[in-house]
Amino acid sequence: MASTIHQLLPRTESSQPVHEHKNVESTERALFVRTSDETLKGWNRSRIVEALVKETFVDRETAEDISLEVESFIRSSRIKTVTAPLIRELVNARLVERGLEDARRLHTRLGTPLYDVEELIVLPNKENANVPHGPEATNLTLAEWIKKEYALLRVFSDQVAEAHLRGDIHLHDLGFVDRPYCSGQSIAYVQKFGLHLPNSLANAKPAKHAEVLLAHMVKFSAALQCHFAGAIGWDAVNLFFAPYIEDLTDREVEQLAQMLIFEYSQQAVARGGQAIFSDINLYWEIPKHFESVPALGPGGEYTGKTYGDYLEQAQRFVWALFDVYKQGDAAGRPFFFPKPLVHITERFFSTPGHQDFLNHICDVASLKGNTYFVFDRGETAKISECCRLSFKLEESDLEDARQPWKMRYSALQNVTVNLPRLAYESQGDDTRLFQLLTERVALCVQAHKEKKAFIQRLMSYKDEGPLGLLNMELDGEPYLRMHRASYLIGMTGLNELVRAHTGEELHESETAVRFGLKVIAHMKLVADRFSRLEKMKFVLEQTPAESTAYRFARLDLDAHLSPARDVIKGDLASNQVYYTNSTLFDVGAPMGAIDRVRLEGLFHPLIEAGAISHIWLGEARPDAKALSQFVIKTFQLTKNDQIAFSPEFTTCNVCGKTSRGLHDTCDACGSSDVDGITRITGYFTKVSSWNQGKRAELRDRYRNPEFMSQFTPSYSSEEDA
Amino acid sequence: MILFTSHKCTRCREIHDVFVLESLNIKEVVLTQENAEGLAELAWMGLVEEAQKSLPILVEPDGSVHTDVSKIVEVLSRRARDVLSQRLLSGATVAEAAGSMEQTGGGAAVCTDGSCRLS
Repeated sequence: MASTIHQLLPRTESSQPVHEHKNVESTERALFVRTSDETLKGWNRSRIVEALVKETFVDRETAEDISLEVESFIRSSRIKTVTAPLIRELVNARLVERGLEDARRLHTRLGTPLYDVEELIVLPNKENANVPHGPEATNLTLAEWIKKEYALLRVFSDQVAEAHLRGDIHLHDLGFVDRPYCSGQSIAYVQKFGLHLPNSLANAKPAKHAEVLLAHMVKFSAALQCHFAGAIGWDAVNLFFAPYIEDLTDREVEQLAQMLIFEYSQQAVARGGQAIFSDINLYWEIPKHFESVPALGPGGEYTGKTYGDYLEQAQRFVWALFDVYKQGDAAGRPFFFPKPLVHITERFFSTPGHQDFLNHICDVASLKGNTYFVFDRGETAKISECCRLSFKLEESDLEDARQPWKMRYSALQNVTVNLPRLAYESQGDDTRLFQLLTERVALCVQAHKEKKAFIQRLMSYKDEGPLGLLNMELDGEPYLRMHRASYLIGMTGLNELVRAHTGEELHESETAVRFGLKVIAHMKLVADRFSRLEKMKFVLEQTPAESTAYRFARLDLDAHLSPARDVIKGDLASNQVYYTNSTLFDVGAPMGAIDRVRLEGLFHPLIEAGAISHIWLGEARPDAKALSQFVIKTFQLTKNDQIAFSPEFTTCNVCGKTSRGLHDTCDACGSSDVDGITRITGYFTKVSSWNQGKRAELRDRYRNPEFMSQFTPSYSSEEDA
Repeated sequence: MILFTSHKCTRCREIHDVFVLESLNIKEVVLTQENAEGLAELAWMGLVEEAQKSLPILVEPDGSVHTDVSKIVEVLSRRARDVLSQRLLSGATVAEAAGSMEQTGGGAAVCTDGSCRLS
């Protein structure tokens, strides 16, 4: 019996299936079945029997009985077109009638209703704003739908799958269940080993020139994107390029910087037409853990110097990169990828030229919004990526820095807890609330163990398996080092939990903030306890929740209407609803930027795998020097992990002009065919691709006019654009 | 005044042995693997990263933070003297006033096994 769908889309007279259909009609009495291999096969009842025995382990006698019943039904029903999926559903109905629920599950067909497929092909899918609408994207989405179903049926236990479906927790990237979540690494791997990808038609020796290294890095990113669900991050990119640019003129370095940014930002031809979610970590100083490490240079050979000797070249390259970010693309729009993450450390402030560089990157932050300021205080070192994820480098990781190609870190999965639901279920009872929170974290742990087991199974097939690339052992161990992987536990809607439980939102009182801190502290302690118990690294991360904040809100309106409608954000009437992301304060709260960064930052030390605060600029373009003072104060006086300033733009689809602020019409030509651009969760994208919840959030964002006016010089509108 | 400590921390234990914190009106927050409230208090004061490096931590009412053990002992000793004086002035006998507040040591213990930090 065939197992997958043959599409029933409308056909023209001349199409092949219609011709075959005529043959069917001319064949008296015989039944033909449309099969997955696009052929018509004669009716054969034994296929039902064989499928049942093979797939569900029911006894042959029961299988025979069911097949006879189905055959009888089909013959008596005068169905014109019999398809393999229809037969399967009829068989499933008989299994249910016999109470064989487990067998029915095993016999389930994974697929998509015709209506949904047509909607998908015609209308854009807005679950992920980084996926454009096109044939590749719909292929990706269809595959994701089937893999999601597979994941919930076969990878995860009923307990975990049902918790996800109910909305107690959210299993991220289910459509990519057969790969880890994301990866952060050093380009030293391609520097040392060249580009040796399994199944590649040609291998490349280590690059001898900067532009070849860049090509290797970009291709390797694309290959990694096919093996990870999320972001691909690169550590200390300007430093690792430094040995390759010593002989280049400033113009050539600028050209290289331009190539790097354009190569990544124009990769909308890769997986599903999706740009690679790419991050480049950048330093003005030489990070301490690289200072005395022998530098790799052209040909993958040691240069005879240490990275500490390349400060000037590294600075030259990072400055050039920000020159390119400042210009934007051909239409003056900000680059969406790669995201530049600049690490601000104590060492940064003792490195000559830091103030000029800080002004430079703050200018870019003000003008285009690209810069992410990552604060590494004390001895902390980390690789940042995704919307806010960080791999904090521990002692063993810093040991890896001696052989930087070994620096590759992965989070295997991200599972998020629906926090507001805990408040609804506990009905004001503290003890119950924390007990439920413990149970939900335990569910996350269970989900991680199940995903880990699945990935380990795929990895066990070595080169023959689907994760061959992650099994390559060019340095003696697999590229994916499972024993070093971390497992993310996220949270959504702390603000609404606190509001539902205490009556106040986080920005409204000290008591509310303290209670919020207790919730996150509890999560952390429970996660730590499970880490010791399971010998796995469970760490909290602020969930970006691009679609989860919307999904949880919708599900809670169904399951807990009365308490939920009082706290959910957005517009209930139009279903444009959302929860506040992670531990963020209400985006619409009229708070000063400094207060927001300070208070949100109190949560960050508890969230080891990454946190961020957003400052929504709106149309304002603050003075770069004033922003740099803000950044310095954030580093010195707060515990905030990462900040980003987000301006807004309108880009015209007719004349191509980009102007500051979100407008309904183009400033230049007056056309209403325009699109907005700003940061969604942790990256820039077009507003037209946002889901309903995020659009509601965008409307609510407080742009902080008082704060911005303090820092905003009187630029003309032409300069702004 | 708040003193953040841990059961595993040898320096914390020594301070605990020397001073009766409760009678000095010092709130002791013992950071354990179950004490979310304590960790939240630590986070509210912005001291999580400091605690990951070193314990104990003393926070004075004016917000001053001390992580150096000898400085903590100095502040606590001063506090003990002040409390003792107040009790004597309010009519307590010397024995009553001293209670179990007598300082028997006070040198900064060396925490060689690294347990004097929040792990």
